[in-house]
Amino acid sequence: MEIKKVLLSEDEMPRQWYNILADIKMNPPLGPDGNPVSPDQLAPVFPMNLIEQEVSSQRWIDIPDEVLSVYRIWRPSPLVRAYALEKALDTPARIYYKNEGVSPPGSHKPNTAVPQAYYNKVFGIKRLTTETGAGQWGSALAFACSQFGLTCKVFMVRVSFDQKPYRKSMMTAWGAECVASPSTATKAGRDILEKNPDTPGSLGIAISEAVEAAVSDTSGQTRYSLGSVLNHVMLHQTIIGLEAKKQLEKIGEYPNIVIGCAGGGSNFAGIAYPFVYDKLNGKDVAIYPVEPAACPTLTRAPFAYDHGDTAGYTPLLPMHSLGHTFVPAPIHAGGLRYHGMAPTVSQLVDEGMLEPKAVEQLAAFEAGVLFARTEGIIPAPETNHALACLVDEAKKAKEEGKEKVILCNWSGHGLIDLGSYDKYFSGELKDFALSDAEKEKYTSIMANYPKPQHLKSR
Amino acid sequence: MKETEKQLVRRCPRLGGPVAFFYCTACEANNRACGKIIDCWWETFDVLRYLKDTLAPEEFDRLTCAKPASKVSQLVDIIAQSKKRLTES
Repeated sequence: MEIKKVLLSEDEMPRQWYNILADIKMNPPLGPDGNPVSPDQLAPVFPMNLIEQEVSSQRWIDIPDEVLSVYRIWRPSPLVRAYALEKALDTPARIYYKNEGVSPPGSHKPNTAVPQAYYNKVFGIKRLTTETGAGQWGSALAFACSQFGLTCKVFMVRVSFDQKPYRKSMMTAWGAECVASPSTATKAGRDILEKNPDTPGSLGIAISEAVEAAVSDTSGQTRYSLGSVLNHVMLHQTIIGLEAKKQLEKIGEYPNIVIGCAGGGSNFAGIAYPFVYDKLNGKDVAIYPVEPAACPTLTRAPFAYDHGDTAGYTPLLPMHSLGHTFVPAPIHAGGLRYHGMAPTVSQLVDEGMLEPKAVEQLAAFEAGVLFARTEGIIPAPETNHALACLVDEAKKAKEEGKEKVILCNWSGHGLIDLGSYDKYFSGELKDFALSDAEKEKYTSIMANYPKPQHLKSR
Repeated sequence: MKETEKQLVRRCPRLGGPVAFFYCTACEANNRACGKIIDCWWETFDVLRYLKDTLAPEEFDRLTCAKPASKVSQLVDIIAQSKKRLTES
């Protein structure tokens, strides 16, 4: 029988994280005053052991036994051969995905939430605060805090608090307190509510509340925790790629292509950085961070709107729109305007080590549904972007007749985000094939704004 | 803002749930637009032109040209603001 899942025993779990900072040069982050940020400036919100990891250039960092002990609840995560997907695509490619959806909260997030909770506990911290949008990060931190006996307060953006009741339930089940932000628990929240009691909230407000809740604890036993972007988060997530390398080695495989979706960058860094290490040492491997399609006008992607008198944007490719004049290819070269991306990811893109791809939402959901109907598990909407790129590469392999090995990070399941799938199935996510009523609706919006002109190929 | 514009709704990649375009135009501090507003809406309508027409030039430039501050830098700023708020209260 063909092997479907490549498993590692708990003893085979990697014992060290890989620190990309050992192998790439980064400028130090600058504070608002323009000077490099000192560790003391972060001490009000992070314990010193995590600040040390944030700036460390040590290549391999030991994973504490206590962290491994909690990781064992769901790790090592399975590496899965996507036979059914390969068959549906009729591709010679061998497709493997790393299933991070098996964690208790359902995604890769606890890979860093657990060590963060541990390091805070070791430092003497009793309570962690954080912000969350839809609740994926908040529930991961709630889970991690429950494992180490820390209390946890999550400030959830109000608009999401009302939309995602089951994420709140998860956090409560794990003993965390989840409040809608802005709240009356902080001065930041009270100030906002005084001006606008009906505000839907925002991530910016929620971060301010979570930081204030940490900083205002005069006992010094509260800190703040963050789920993406920062170096120590990327470090912790490399458990994903390190396990994947071991699993592939077990079956004599090495990927030609590594794919991960990239929002803040943590799950992508997790799967990719151990392979970036190989690439830096001469290995031939293509590594693709996949983002939701960024506006091509503002990137160096090879197509754009032509706004005529606005800012001299260059028309480069033929497009047709929403019943108008443009639509780009569903999967195209990614942009370099990485708003909110981890600095190390951006740096690696700039150095040419990574090739960003951009995927539109329709293509993303199409891939997610195909995956669900072949491999059986329903991906998170974010994961679908990586899957769309995976499908595209598998099709290319078929066209080229090449048996490429493609590794993709399956960053999380979509079982608590099925509302997005509902919109897709009801046709609300259609980009370019609109009904007459929808066309009329969008046409009325666009009536006062110029339509992109017919663009020419470069 | 036209009623039809207010009805535009899509999934926010930062929040992970549906939000209206109106939310995106004012959800950041001081009622500023979200930094991803163009990335999220350009497939739906010419949001770039809309923002150029409705925002002050410096605000439009902030959205289109300015490189956002690093997360660490933003955190240091938020910490300082929190301490100031607590001192003043």
